[in-house]
This record gives sequence, C-alpha cells and structure tokens, in this order.
Amino acid sequence: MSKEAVNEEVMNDEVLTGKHSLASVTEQISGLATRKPLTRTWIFGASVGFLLLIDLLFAITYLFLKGVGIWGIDIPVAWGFAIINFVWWIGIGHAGTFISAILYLVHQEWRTSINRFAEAMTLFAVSCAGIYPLLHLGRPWFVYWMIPYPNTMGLWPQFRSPLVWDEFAVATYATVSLVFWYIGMVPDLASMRDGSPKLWQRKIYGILSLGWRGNGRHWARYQTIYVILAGLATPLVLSVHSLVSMDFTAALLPGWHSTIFPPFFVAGAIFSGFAMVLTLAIPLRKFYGLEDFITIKHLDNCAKLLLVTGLLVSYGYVFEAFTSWYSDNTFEKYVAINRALGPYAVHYWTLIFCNVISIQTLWFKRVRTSPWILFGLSFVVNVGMWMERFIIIIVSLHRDFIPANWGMYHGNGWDWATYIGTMGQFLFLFFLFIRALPVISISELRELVQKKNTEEAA
Amino acid sequence: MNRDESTETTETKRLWRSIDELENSIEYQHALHREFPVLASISEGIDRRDFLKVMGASLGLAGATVTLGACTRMPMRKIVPYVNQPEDLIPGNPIFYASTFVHRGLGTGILVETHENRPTKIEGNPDHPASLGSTDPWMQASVLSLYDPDRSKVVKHREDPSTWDEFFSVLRALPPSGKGVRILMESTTSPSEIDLLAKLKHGYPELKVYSFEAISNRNVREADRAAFGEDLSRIYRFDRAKVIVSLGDDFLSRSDARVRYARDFADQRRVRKGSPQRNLLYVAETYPSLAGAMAEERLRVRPSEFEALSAQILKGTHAGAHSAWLELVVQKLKAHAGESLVLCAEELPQELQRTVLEINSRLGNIGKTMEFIPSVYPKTDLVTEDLASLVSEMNSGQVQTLLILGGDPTYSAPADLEFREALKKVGTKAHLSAHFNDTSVFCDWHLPLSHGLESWGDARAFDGTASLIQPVIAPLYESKSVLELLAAIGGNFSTPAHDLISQYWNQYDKKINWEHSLNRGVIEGTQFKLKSGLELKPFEGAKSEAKGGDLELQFLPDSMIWDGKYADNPWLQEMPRPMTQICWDNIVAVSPKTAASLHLNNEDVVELSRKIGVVEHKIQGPVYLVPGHAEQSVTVHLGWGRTRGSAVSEGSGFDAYPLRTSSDLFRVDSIQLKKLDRQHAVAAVQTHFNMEGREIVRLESVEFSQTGKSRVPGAGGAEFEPTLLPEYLPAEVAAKTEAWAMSIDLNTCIGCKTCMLACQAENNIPVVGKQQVIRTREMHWIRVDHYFEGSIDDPKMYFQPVPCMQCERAPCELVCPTEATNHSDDGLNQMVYNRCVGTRYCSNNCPYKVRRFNFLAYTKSIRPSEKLQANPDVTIRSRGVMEKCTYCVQRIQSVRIEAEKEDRPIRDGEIKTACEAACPTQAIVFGNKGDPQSRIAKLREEPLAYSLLSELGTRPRTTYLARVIT
Repeated sequence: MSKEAVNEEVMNDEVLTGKHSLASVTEQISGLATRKPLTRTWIFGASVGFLLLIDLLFAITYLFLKGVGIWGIDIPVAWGFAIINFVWWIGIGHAGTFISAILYLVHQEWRTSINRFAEAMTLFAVSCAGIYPLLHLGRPWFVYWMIPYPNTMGLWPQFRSPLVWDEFAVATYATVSLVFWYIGMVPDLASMRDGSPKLWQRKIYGILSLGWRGNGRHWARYQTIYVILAGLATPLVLSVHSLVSMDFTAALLPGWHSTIFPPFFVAGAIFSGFAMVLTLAIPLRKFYGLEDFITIKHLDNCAKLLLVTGLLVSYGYVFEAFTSWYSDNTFEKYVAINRALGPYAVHYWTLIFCNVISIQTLWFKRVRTSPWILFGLSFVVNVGMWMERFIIIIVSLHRDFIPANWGMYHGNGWDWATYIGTMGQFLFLFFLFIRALPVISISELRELVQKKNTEEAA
Repeated sequence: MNRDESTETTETKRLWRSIDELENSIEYQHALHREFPVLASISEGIDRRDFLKVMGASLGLAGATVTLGACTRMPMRKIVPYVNQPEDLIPGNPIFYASTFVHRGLGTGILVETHENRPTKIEGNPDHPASLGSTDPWMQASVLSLYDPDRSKVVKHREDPSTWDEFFSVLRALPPSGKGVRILMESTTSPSEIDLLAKLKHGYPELKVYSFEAISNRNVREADRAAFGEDLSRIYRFDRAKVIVSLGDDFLSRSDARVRYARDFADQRRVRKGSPQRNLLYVAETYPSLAGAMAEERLRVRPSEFEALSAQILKGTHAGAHSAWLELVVQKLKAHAGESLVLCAEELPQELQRTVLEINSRLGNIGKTMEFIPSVYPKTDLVTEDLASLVSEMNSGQVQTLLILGGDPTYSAPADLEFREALKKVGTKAHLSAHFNDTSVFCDWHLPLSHGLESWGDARAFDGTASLIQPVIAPLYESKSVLELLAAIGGNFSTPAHDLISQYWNQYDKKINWEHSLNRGVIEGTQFKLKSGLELKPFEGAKSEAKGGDLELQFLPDSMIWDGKYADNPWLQEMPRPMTQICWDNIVAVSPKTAASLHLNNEDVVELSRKIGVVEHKIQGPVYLVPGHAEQSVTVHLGWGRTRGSAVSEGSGFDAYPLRTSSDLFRVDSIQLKKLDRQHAVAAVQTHFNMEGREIVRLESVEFSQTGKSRVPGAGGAEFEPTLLPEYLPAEVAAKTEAWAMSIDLNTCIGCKTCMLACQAENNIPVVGKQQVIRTREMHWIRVDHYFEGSIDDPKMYFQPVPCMQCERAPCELVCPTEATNHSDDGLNQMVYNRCVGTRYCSNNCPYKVRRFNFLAYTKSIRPSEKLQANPDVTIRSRGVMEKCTYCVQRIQSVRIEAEKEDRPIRDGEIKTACEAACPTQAIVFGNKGDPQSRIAKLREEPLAYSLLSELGTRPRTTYLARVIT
C-alpha cells in the first residue's frame, strides 16, 4: 500500500466511508455470500483450512486409538498442549462477545462493522477450544461422566472440582454466544433471502430467518431481545475466563495458586481476542473490498483496546513477580526465578517481548493506523499469549515442590498436528462463514448509512 | 517372534538337504517340480493313500508326544476336579509354601504366595537366618523370571528340537572311568548336590568338576584358607560391631547374606528417643555404593589405593594422602577394638584380604565381630574353582565331554581365557540353561533348566543352615534342575527329584522331620557350629603393590542384573539403579571433575580399550557423571549387552566383560579412553539431585533425636498447619475406624529398592520400557528418591522412599471432576479406577507427584505367560487411568475379614504392606495411628518424626523419621 493511500485513509477518521446507499450496503455484503463467484483467495484459504482439518481428524483418530501417551505429556507435566490450546482458543473467543455485548451496551457505534465476524470468530474459537477437554481425557468415551445427569447409581460429578465449573462456564458461554450471534443475524438473513437469486438459497435463508418480515413489531421485539442478550452475555465475558483461571488457582501448585488470576486471565483473554480480530479483519477488508465499512477508525480503536489490555496483562506479570518475592515462600520464589532463568527462559522472554515490549509501539498513532503493521503485531500478540499459557502450565508443573520429581516437557509431532489441526478447523469454519453468511451486520450498517446520509443532508 | 517361527520350521522339517529346502524358497519349489514331480504333487493335493500315510504318521507322533508328556510333565498322581474342594485349598485364598531362593549357591528362605497353584509373589521366610522375613530385589523379581516367555522350552541338539531321552543316550555312552568328562557348574552349597557330586566322583574316578562364578568371593576364601589352613566360611556380626570400616565392600547390596547383614546393621542404627547409640560406618570406595551413602565419612579412592589404605590402617598411621579419614578411622578402630569390623571388597587380591584379616585379628575382632564356620561350599578336591585350569585342559584336548550346568561362561569368563575358542576343541558339549544364550550357541546340546520355583532342591545359608527348595508349580516346560541332571549323569534317570532330596536328608539324619522341614522351609539343627581356637598363621607383612595409572577402571556387578544372570527380567531392567536412577542401560561412570578434564558430558559415547595379550580389546558405552565417584578412574557395570537369550536383555547396555581378565577381575590399572562422536540416550527416572535448600530429607543431630519434638501435625503436641483443603472424613466417622499410617525411617533406609520391586510384584505394576522412562512415565507406586548434598565432587548422599502420603486433606481429591479419587472410612485416599476418566488433574495437584498415569495401554505389553504372575486381588489398570499406592488395601481387607470373623480388633503389625514386608532393614512400619499403643503411633511421636511438606496443610498419613547426622 502506498504512502498516499495510508494518509488518505487516516484522514477519513470515520466508521463508514465512501458513498453508500441502503441498497448498495445490502448489495455489497449479501452479494459476497450469494451472488459473486468463488474468488481464488477464498478457494486457497478454504483449501488450506480443509487440509488442516483433515490433519486434525487424522491426529484425533490416532489419539483415540492409542491414548494420550502419543503426546509429549508425562509425570510431572501431565497437562500439555491440549490445555494450553484450550485456554488460548477460549481467550481468543473473548473479543467477539466483548465487542457485541459490552460495546453495544455502552453505545460504541464503531462496533457495528466488526461485531458479526468477531462473534463468528468467538464461536469458532470456542468450538476449537471445546474439543480439547475431550481429547485430553485418558478415557474420552466416558466424558459424559463429567456432566450431571440422573443415573441409577446416584453418581454425580464432584462439584468441588474446578473442571466441573469450567465445563459449565464454557458450555454456557458457547450457548449464549451462539444464540446472540444468531438472533443478531435474523434481519440480515431475511435480506439475504429476499436478495438471493436461486430458489434453494432463498429456501435455506428463508428457514433461517424465522419468518422475518421487517414488520415494526418484529423490530421492537428484536431490539428488546438483543439488549437482554447483550446484558446476559456481558457477565459471561468476565466469568468464563475467571473460571478457566480457577482450573489453576484452585490447585496448590506454585505458579498456579494465585489470587490475581481471574482478572489477569480476563484481561489476557480480551487482549488475545482483539489481536485475533485484527488478524482476521485486516485481510478481510483488503481481499473483500470492505475498506469502506471496516475503516482505519476501527483498526485504531481495536489497537487502543489492545494497548490497554496489554498494559493490564503487563501489570499482571509485574505483580506475579512481586508477590512471589513478597510472599517469602520458597516455592513461590523459585517459580519466579525458574521462569526467568530456568530451562524455559527463552519462552518467558519471548512472552515478555511479545506481550509487554512489542505493544508499546501502539502508543504511536502512526502504528495504530497502519493496517499491515497492526497485522504483524496482532500475530506477535497471538504468539505471546500462547507462550503465556505455556509458561503458566508447563513451567509451573515441571518443577514443583520435590526436586526429585522435576522433569521436562516437549510438545511432539502429534501435539503440533492437533494444534495446527484446530487452526484448520477455525480457518475452514471462517471461510464457510464468509461464503454463506453476512460478514457484517447489514441492518446495523443500514442504520448507520441512514444516520450518516441524514446528517449529510441536514 | 522370529525365533518362534524358525523353531516351527525346524520342527516340521527335521531332515533337509539344502538351505533352500529349509527355507522353502521359490527356486527350490521350482527345482522340486522339475526333478521330483511325485513329491511336488504331495505338496499340492493329497490322494487317499497319501492321506492315510500322513495321518498314520501324525497319529503315531501324537501318541509319542502324549507318552512323552506323561513321563516328563505330568506328575503321576490322581487328578481330582474341584467337585470336592481340596481340604487345604479355598479358591480365592492364597496358599504360602516355604522354599529357598539361591544366589551364588547360597540360600535365602522364601515364602511363595500362590493363587490357585500359580506363584504370584515372594516373601521372606522369617524362620530363615538369611532372610528373617525380608527379601532383596532378586528374590522379589524371581517370580517373574518363572514366567519368562523367552525361557528355553525344549532340549535342542545343534539347534534342532530333541528330547531328554536322546540326550540321556549321550550320558549313557560316557566312558566308565569318566576320562575326559568335565562338569562346569555354578557355585553350589546344596548338600544333596554335593553328595551326588561325591558319588559321581566315586563312580567316574577321572571325572573332574569345576565351578565358575563371574563375580566370586573366592579371593576371600582362599585368603582364609591360606591364613588358617582350612576351608572356612565367614559370618560377620554387624549386631556386635560398633565401628565398621569398609574398603570398597558394599556389604549392604552384595554380600552373601545381604538381607540379614542389612538388618543387623540397621538394628544398630535405629535412633529413638532414649536410645541414641548407633554404629559408625566409614567407607572408602571408587563408585558410590549403598554402604557409602550410609557412611559417616566416605572417602573417594581410586581402585589402586586400597593397598595403601589397608597398610596404613594396619600400622595405625595416617600419613600422606587421605590422612584425615585415616586418622579418624584408626582412632575409632583403636577405641573399639574387639567391637569393630574391617571389610574389603571380595574381588580384591588375596594379599589384601590377608592384610584386612590381620587388621581384624590385631583388633581382636575375630571370634567377636568376625566368626568362622566350616566352609559351606564343597571341598576343593571335589569342586575346583579354577576356570583357567579347565580352559587349559580344554585347549590341550583332554576334555572330550563338557557338561556346563547353568551360567553363561562364554559371555562372562575372563577375556584372556578365550573360553569360546577353548570350547571349540571339546568333543561333546552340553549346556543346561534357562535361556538359549551365548554359551548354548557353541554347545551341541542345549538343555532347558528348571526355575527354582519348579524344582526340588536344597541350599545352605551363610551360616550353614540348610533349607529346602520345594516346587510350587510343575515345570512349565520340558526342563530339569541341576540336581536331576547330576543324578542322570550318575546313571539315575528315573528317581524323581523329590525322592532324591528326601532320601538324602533321611540318610543325613534320621531324626529330621521331613514334613515339618518342608513346612518351615528350614531344616532344624543344620546350622554349622562356630569354629573355635582357630590359629592364624604368621602374617608376612602387607604386600601393597597396586600400580595405578592415569585412568583406572573398576568393574562392578550391576545392582539389579548382577553378572547378567538376571538380565532377562523386565522388572529388574526397569528398576532405577541406586546413585544414578538409570534403568535399561549401564554407563561409563566418571566423576564430574574427571569428565570435565576429559571433555566428556552425559551420554557421550566413549571407547574404552586395553591390550590383553597382543589383542586390543574395546568396549563402547555412554558416559554418565556420577557425583561422589573417585577421580582419575571410571567404573563400568557388568552383566549388560547380552546378544542372545531374551528379548528383554538384548540391546540394553554394553558388555564390559571383554576388558576383564583373570588377573584384573576388579580393577584395571590403566585404560585408554577415547571420545566418539555420538551420543546414546539413557533413561533416568530422576535427573535433579539437589534439594534446593528445601526440607525434603530432614537432617537432625543426635541431640535433637533425644530432646527435640515431633513435627508430625497432631502428634507430640505439634500443631496442625492451617489449611483450606476440605475435611473429607468427618471426625466422628474417623474415630470409629482405624487410621492407617506409615512411618519411614530415613536413618535405616539403605536405598536398595526392594520395596519398589515388592510393590511391583504385589500390585501388578506394568513395565513401560526405556523410551517411556525417558519420557518420565515410569509406573512405580513407591519410588526411592536420591539426593546429593554438598560439593558435587564429594557429596553426602541420602535416600527417601516416597509412596502415596495418603493425605487426610488430600489435594488430589478436591480437583477430581468425577470423584474417582476419594476417602475411605479408614482414612485411605483411594482410587476408583472404574470411575477415572483421566483428566490427570489429581497428579498436577499432588505435591508429592506419587500418582502414575497409564498414558498408553501399558498392561497390553505384559506377555501372555507373564500374565500368570498377576495378583488376582489387584485390578489390572487400563489405559487412560490414574493409579497410585493404596497402602496395599487388598492386604488390609483380607486381614480385616479374618479379624471380623474372629470378632476382634486388627492387631498391631498384623497387616504388612508389600514394601514393609520386603524391606531388609525394616525401615517401613505400617499400622493404625489411632491406637496409641501401636508402633506407628509411637513413631509419630518421636522427635525425629516429620511429615513431608506439612506446611501445605495436606496432613500426610505417611511420615518420616529424619536422618541423623553427626
């Protein structure tokens, strides 16, 4: 992108640019899904996703045949990539609901263009995260024992276990996110139904749009339910990762047993979520010509949020180190030293670079408004947040209380195959989403266009 | 697998004309069709006539097999189905039989637990003086060797299956004078075997019997004979020794009565409130040993320095090197004359043995801490222990028939003897062995040897006590014992071994009650009388003439597989070796400083070489840095690098025998070491040996043991640590039942790992293999941690057995999502395998990391015949399930059932966990802490008592007694 183009975009500090009418918005967005031929970008991206998805299925099949021993986990490090990736994906899944629900409730107009795909991202990330608790079980065929269901033996899950809380938290979050996403999409699905050229498309969208006719009463009820759902989803944004963090804090293990974890995890989750939003939004607007809808203003705002949450996370790192020193507890102190100087020091300093140092560039507006720098930075943050989970899980476990037990952990080929496989799952689902559903909320965008055009006319 | 297939081929094709035919190659098939169309038709389709011929032949063969089977395998007794239950057998209840485990000829009494006639577990025989109810790793593991699928199953004549009858025809053809007939056997003390040997010599006047042990105590006995003029055996009285000085002798792990000596030693070391006295141990050695780890002061010496040390101790001087240690030792010995004991490694030369004997004599120890009895071994004119003279006889063509009974001399004989070459010059060679090993390959006849649990026999203990070996199962294969074969050589082909033994003892002493002896295992009144009035011949002065080079080499037997004899046993292979915690491999051990000077790192492969005669002998193995090893020297362990015989031992470790000669059985003055450009990964279960300043193994002074206070929460006034962990067991429930607890005395734990093996045998713990151990996935429920303290070159060493702590406030239970781990009413932290889904959270939250996870289907790798060893009272765990120490809940329950039937409380000491029962030093005590009179309750009140990581508030039921240091 040329320098002039960047500058031109910078000047348009608005959430909607270009000349758009209500019809052109509908045309451009619903057209992506229903009318335009498949682009090469789409075919390439979807193929990569599909191949990686096949890799995932292969890795899972072998896993179920042989057992979790094919991974690198051992004693003392009994949790490895599966839990790291679970927390990583769940974290990524935070931004969607944050954008849709919290920003909606506080009337942040700029959320409009990015909420739909951010919510989709949430759902797909949660679906990737959701398979890990199953995969990591020694006997996955008994996974239903973790669910409270009435049975003749009178056996229930052990409700003191954070894993049980976790399962409820994630399941609730996934359900509410799905409903929120779907309800928000109903008016758009109706637009798609009306504009689709083929009968079978009209039938499918017709079923999905639940008989939406754009009637005033429909709109009134829609607005009500949307606010209610936003209200319901808001606490979930905070609760899910708080509960995930309790998988660790409830344990005795130094490096896990920490009261700072719930808010620290939530901040980290939103941090990684916004990084992923940027990772997805920047190529999306480029390759699908959505620069008018997802503007530099959006990127700038996301980058600011990235900086804020990043600083919160950095504060967490400082205080983890401080409390371990201040506690004067042998084990706690050793954890801090071992992180910085132990065998996994490279991972720790990578984490500090990615999550603390690199984001300081976001203080500069020039960085915040350069899409491709942001794109690179979002990648760095994604890596950093993965490292953070690695540090928390592996580095705490590998050297705990009794030195004779100390060991090492290395992810092996099967660990990576599963991890990359879930990326494929995410990618493939996302490409299907781009092709089949409106990536930006048409109805909300039309409201914006209407508002803008009215303002301009006045 | 391949071997089995080839056996089948050879079995079906007894006669063949060419390799092609044997292998049934395509070319051969074509040739067959071309040349012999008639034969070809048989292989394709069969007509009626041929069918009848073949059927007739096979029926005949089948008949022969049945007849054969009837006379070799099936006891000629009535078989009664369980329609009427046998009087002494209740299905589900184990029956114990007394028997004897033989190592290097000497017997240790055992009790064999059998379930429905299937031996599953070995315990010590409390009535036997060498056991006193305890065991060592080999005794524990021997039950698995019985079921070893690689054992020899049939007689083989030049690799072809044959029969005992065919072999007996060879014996029948022996020359009547016995000219040119030689027997080579392993050490024996069996009275009946010795009796048969004497009869053999009588029948065949020119027959000679040799014996050979790769690791032998011959030098000690030769020195005693030279000093006293008669064949003697020694008894060490550790119970009377206040000061013990050892020059390289690891009496805790490799003496002839190691179980008994460990007990006697530990009994003098148990520091309790009110009895602070304990013996003092000083050890000088090259490679750190169990004794070295227990020593008050341990001195690192090169193998060539023992002569100088002993000479100084003899003179009472302490000049030159090691003066501080010598001064201390000399002073302590002088202060405890008559109640001290000086020992030296059994392979050290006779002259040195004599010097040490002289030291003991001058200290007045003989007759007090060192006693003598008539030799338990056969007389030297009956059995010659000199392998070299046998080899020279073989080389000169004097040997026409060589019968090798047991052992693997081709593998383990000193390299300079070139036993294999000598073997080629012998006319007929037969080898009785449990495995088709390196010696079997070079023999004409291979004869399967019975396992000790399948055969009748007897053996003497270190003090002369004779005990019986009784079979607990009929031989699994067509095997015979040494005794049976000796009888056959003497022309007695038909008398059952049982009759041989009972007749012998009947003749020996009519008063012996056979049934009673069989029942107890020990034959009463057979202990040898102590020799009194022994006259020591004048001492000719210490001959110290060890040279020592730049880099010296020391050979040691492996602590688990010995000289290679037990290498086929997977439990022993996977048992981490004390000091290094390595399994499945041996290493070239060097001290960290020497390694640095030679630019060596862990796992670097090096080549050790030396000239033997004119030939350069070389071995290659991985280096491992061993803190506490002497400088300028390397140690290698023998018994590894087997190439034949067993799928388990093949490919593990390297063979060090090629460097060992008859003059250098223990040490080589100078060795060449060359670093090769490759690495060999070794599997160690522990890689971090520093306590990091944490109070894991507590060290306390003697004063503290008398005046201090227990630090077990709730005992001796110690407060409970505050805890957020929930109370699983309401106090009112806990008060009604027993509160099981365990105490482990770190002051008497010698780190021998018998507890680990006992646990493995009792609890069906699978072997996972080297690759899984490298990934730290070993399954042992109890482990023995090892720590170094102080400088890396010369550290103090401590052991700590760690079973499950059975925490009252267990962190594992809190986090299990399915309640698969929970609390029983008697306070056990139990594991419900069926309910476990395998989240592994419990392991993450266990501060002691005692939980073990079935990452893969480990139990699937148990070979079919080995499944017979499984304890039916313990579940076999599937993959994906967590497991851990249960305090042997099956033993608790069986005792509880008995107690409830008799309507009485469970008595203190009535339940013994497998580790407790096996422990040679009785460092482990189990019982009900709720009973204030129980041993365990009192031990928890001891000043030395503490709980591991008690600051976490877990309230462990397993507690420790701190190690006392000076």
